[in-house]
Amino acid sequence: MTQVVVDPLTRIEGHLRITTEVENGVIRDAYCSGTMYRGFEQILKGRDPRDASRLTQRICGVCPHAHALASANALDDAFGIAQAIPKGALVTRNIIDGLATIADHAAHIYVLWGPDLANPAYGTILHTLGDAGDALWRELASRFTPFSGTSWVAAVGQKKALQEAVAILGGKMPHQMATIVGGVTCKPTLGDIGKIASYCLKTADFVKDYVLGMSIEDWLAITHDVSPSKAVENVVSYLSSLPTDDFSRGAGWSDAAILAGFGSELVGETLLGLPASLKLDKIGGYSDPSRIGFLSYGEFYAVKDGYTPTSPPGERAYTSGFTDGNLNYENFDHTQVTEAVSRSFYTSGDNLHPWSGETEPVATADEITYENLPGKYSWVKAPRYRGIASEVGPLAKLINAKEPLIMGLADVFLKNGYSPANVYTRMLARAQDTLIIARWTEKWLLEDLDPNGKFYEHADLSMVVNKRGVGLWEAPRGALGHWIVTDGQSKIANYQLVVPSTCNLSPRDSNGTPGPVEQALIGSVIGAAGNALSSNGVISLDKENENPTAIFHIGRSFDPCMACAVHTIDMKTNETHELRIL
Amino acid sequence: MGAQFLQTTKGGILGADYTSRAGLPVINIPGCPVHPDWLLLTLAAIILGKGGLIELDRYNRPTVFFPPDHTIHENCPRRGFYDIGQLDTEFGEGHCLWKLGCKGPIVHADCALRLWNAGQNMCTQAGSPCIGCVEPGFPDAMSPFYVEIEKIPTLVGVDVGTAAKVAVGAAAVGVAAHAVRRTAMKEEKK
Repeated sequence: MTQVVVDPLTRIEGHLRITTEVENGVIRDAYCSGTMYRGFEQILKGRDPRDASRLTQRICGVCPHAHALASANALDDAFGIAQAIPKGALVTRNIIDGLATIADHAAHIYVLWGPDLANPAYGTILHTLGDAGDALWRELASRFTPFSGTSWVAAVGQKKALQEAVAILGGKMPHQMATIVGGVTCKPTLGDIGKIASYCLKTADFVKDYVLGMSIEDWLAITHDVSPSKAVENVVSYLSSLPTDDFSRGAGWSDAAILAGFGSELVGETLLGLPASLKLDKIGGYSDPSRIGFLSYGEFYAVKDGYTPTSPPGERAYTSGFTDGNLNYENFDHTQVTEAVSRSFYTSGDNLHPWSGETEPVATADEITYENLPGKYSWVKAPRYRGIASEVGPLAKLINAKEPLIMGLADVFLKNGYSPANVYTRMLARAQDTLIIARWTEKWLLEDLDPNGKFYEHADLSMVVNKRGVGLWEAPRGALGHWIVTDGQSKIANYQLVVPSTCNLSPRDSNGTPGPVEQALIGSVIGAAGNALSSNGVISLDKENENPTAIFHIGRSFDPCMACAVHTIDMKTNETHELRIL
Repeated sequence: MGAQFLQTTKGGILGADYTSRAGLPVINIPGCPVHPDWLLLTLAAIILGKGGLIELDRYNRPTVFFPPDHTIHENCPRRGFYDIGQLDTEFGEGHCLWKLGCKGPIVHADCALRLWNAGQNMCTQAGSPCIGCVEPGFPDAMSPFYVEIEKIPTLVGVDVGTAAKVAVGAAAVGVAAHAVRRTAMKEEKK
C-alpha cells in the first residue's frame, strides 16, 4: 500500500489536502482535510445583522455574490419581509447571480478543471494510438493548456467581462454591494440594461465559437427542451455526424463535443465507436448508493413579488430537493440539515442543526494533525441531510430539477453499470447549467426587468429583535445555507454558514461514513490517464503515483477555487514531486 | 498582524524599521478587494525603477491612490445631492447616502475617479453606502455599515481610541456640521 498525498489540491475556502491509500494503482481509502480555520461565525457574533451580507462575501472572492444572496435571504426571513420583497429586486438579484455564475462556471471549466485535460500523461497515452491519437492530443493541448490554450485564454476574457457586467448593477466585483436585506440598493436604468445586454451578446459569441459550435438556443433545443431519452439520442446523433479523422473546431469538434464524445467510455467508445476516450465516466462515481444523496436548496426567485425563505419544492427556477443515491426525489426540508464534528477540529456538539450550531475549535495546537487519521483530521465539518452525506453542485441541482440531458445520461449510465454521478456527468452538468442560466438571464434582463419597478422594501432594526432566519441559495459550487439568530438588542447572536465545499469535502461523520469526495475517490484508479486506453502499462504505476490524474480530475470536478502549485509526495520513495497545475 | 503594521501601529512581523534591498518599506495596498490598478500600477512603478518616487501616507499606502487630503466623498458621483441636502433615508432613491451609513466622507481612496471593473461603476453609484474597505480599521472601525457615521459612538463619541479613529472622528464632525448646514439652507429655501 502506498500513501499518496496531494496538498494542496486546491484552494477553496482554505487549503485542501487529500490523503489516499493506493494499492496496485487503485485508491483503497481517501481522506479530505481542510487545513484552514474559517472563523466567520465568531467574526459575525454581536454585529448589526445587516452587515452580514457584506462580511460573508469576504469569505472568498470567487463566489461572493452567492454569500451576499444567501445572507440577504436569511435577513429577509429574520426581518419578516421575504414575502414583501418587490419583483424588481428579485429579478435584479437573479441577474446578478446569473451573470456571476456564468463567469464562475467559465472560469472553473476552462481555467481550473480544463488544464488537467492537457496533462502530458494524455500526450504519452494518445500517441500510442497513432495519427488519430496525436490529432486528439493536439486539440487538447492547444485548447486547454494554461496561458496559451485558445479556449483557456478566451475563457479568462469572459470571466473578466462578466465581472464588469455584474458591476453595472452591483457597483463592483468581487464583493458586489447591491444585494441587501429588503431588496437591492441599485435602480437599474434602461442604459444599464443595454450595457449588460451587450456583454451577454459577447458571451453568446464565445459560447458559439468555442464551447458549442452552435448557438445556446440551438443546443438547448436538442438537449434541454426534449425528453431525457431524446436528449441523449440527439447528442449521440450530433456527435456521430462529426468526422473521426479531424478533431478541429473547423470540423465541428467544439469543446463541448470533445468533452461529450471523448470524455466518456460509454458515450465515446461504446455508443459512438471512437478509438479511445478519457473514461471520465469511470472515475469519481459512488460505489454504494445508500451512502450518498444529491442535495439542492433551490436557486433563482420566481418572477413575482415575494418569495418563501424555506424554498419549497417548485417555487424557484431551479427547485430545491434531495435525491437519494438510487435517484429517488424527495421534498427538501432545511431542518434536516445537520453538521457532524466528531472527525473535525471542533469540540462543539455533534449533529446540530445550524440554528443551534456551534463553532468551537479544539483547545490546543497539538490536536491539529492531519496524520492521525482514525481521529480528527479536518477543519471542515461534516454536513449531512437526514444523516446522509450529500453531493452538492450543478450535478445535484440538475438531478433535483430533473434536467433532461443529465437525467437521460444518468439513466443510460445506471443501465450500463456505471455510477450515474461521475466526473463526466459532473462536468457536463456544469456546462449545461451555464447554458440554461444564460438563457434565463437574458429573459430576466430583457423581459422581466422594469426600470420603473420597485427595488426595495423597508427594513429596520426594530424588526429583528429575537428573530431567526434561514437563507437558502445555490452558489456556483452548490447548496449554500446561512442561518441567523438575533438577540434582544437586534444583534447577531448566532450565525452559521453551511457552504457547498463543506458538504462535498466533508470528512467522515460520527457513523464513519466518508464525505462525498472521499467516497468518489475510493475505488477509483489513481492514474486516470493510464486508464484512458484499454491497454495498461503505457504509464508505470510509479509514474501514476507521481502524477495522480484521477485525484486531480475527481477532486476538481467538484469545483476547486484557485489555481496553485500542487505538491505530491510518494511515500514509498519519500520523494517530493512538484507539478505546475495552473 | 500585518507585515509592517499591527492594525494602525507600526511594527508587525518585519518590524517598524524594515526596508527591502531597494530601500523601500512594506507598501500597503488596502481594499477588499484591492483595485487591480492600485496593485499593478504600484508594481509597475517599482519595475520601471521609480519605486523611490512612491509617496506613502502614515499607513504606508501610496498617496497617489489613497490621498490623505481628500476623500471618496469629494468626487462621488452623488456629491451634488449632498450639496443640496438631498439625503436619502431609504435605499434606491438615487441621492446622497450619508444618512444610510455612507463612510465616503471619511475614506481616502480614488474609487470615485478611477471606478471599478474597467470603469463600469462604484459602490455609491450602485446605491450602496461606502463601507470604507481601504481604511486600516476595516471592518470594525467602519461598522455598522448601514448606520449614519454620527450615530456610531466608536467613531465620533467619547470612547474614540486610536489615532485613526480620532482623525476619522474629526472629519466626520466636520462633514456632519456641513450636512446640517446644507439641510438647513434647503429648509429655508422651502
